[in-house]
Amino acid sequence: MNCSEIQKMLSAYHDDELSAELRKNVDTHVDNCGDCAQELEGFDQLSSMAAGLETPETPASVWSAVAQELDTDQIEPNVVAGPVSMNRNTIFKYAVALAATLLIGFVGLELWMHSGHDHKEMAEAMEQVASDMDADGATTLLLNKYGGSEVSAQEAITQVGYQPIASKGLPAGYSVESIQLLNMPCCKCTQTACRRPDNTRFFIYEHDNEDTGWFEHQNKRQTECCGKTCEIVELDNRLAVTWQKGNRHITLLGVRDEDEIELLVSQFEEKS
Amino acid sequence: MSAEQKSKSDPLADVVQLCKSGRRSAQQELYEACHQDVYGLMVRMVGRQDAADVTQQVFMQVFRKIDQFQGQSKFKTWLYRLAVNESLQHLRKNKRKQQVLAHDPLDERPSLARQREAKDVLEAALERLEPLLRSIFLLKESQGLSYREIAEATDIPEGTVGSRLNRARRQLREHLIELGWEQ
Repeated sequence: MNCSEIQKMLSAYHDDELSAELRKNVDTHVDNCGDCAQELEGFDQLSSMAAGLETPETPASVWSAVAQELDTDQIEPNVVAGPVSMNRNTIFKYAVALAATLLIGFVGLELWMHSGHDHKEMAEAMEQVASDMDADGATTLLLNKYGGSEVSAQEAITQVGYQPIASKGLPAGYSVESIQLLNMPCCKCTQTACRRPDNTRFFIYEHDNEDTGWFEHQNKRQTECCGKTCEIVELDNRLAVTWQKGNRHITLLGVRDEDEIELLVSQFEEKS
Repeated sequence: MSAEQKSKSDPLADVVQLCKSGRRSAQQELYEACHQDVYGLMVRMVGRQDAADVTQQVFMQVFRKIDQFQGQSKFKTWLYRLAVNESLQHLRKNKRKQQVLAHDPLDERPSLARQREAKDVLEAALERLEPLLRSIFLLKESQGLSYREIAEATDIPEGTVGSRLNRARRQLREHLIELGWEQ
């Protein structure tokens, strides 16, 4: 083989893409040809330089933007055109009193256990969730107990009649990790696990306005945020906050502080 | 190898399957597994300023078209195909802008090249390379794709990948010399 023929194969040789026979031919030629050997050395040098190229980290905002655009893709056409939109005024008839359960679990577990509702087990489960907020097993705990399942935002609309609020968008850097549909003994509701930029999590429960007596036996405070009256309960180092949104109650569990409450509530109220 | 066998050998096959049902957690898992590869390619294909936007567009294409992925190739090969297409399309749309951006200060100040590290000069040389050749070079050198995978990702015959890489490497060597790089 002459130089012209060999040089056509030089990249394939360099990248180990040649058959054994052709490779042997190139080996023999390069051993005896300074020009081809020099060109091959140049390829080796380029590979060494390319190996030193550094890639900057992907900005965290990229996933947030993707998730938000996916929400638009998945939800808007169906809300506008599908039967779900026809039920918007009555969608909450299916929703759940999970937040009531949850908060009563935190606040007045004993009271609740004697109230005639069969919620003792749920309240205990919520206690576990609250005490193990960042553990991977926390969000699956309720699923295991109540046979719930992970759903897409669109599937949630079909099942409970509303779009989980976080799937409409979260602050920059935050993301929806999963939406789970819980078949609780008393009702069906959504639990949305959200991830912060630092990878820790909080949860959002959405449910009917079944119980207006939440926090009655708990130290609580009220604050105005984006025109909404929010009730805040302190749970160890974290906060639970709930506010009414139309016929629904939104409950955030595991919020860090009032700044984060303001960030999230303003996000959810502006998106609606 | 059948599509089924290929699917089994693809570490992302399971999560891709879950993505087809629109599960957000699966979509995020897939994104986490791939975003750095895509962003890294986009930084060098369209520039750092536009890389995030184009990466976002690539993943939107991925999730919108994921039903079309039938496991005939590795998922990442299919992903790179979308990424290369998106970047080439972006460059075509922004041709005038790219021509302005392509103006390299090293053109006028070759002495600086000697002070720069090899990777910096290679970055400058890559910017001068024709976009398709640049994508082929990067898929080989940075992403480690085989010639067959590069052919699938760039929609060129497998038999021409070697010759394109020859061209890319020779042109890069010329650009490096023009930029004052000394071996």
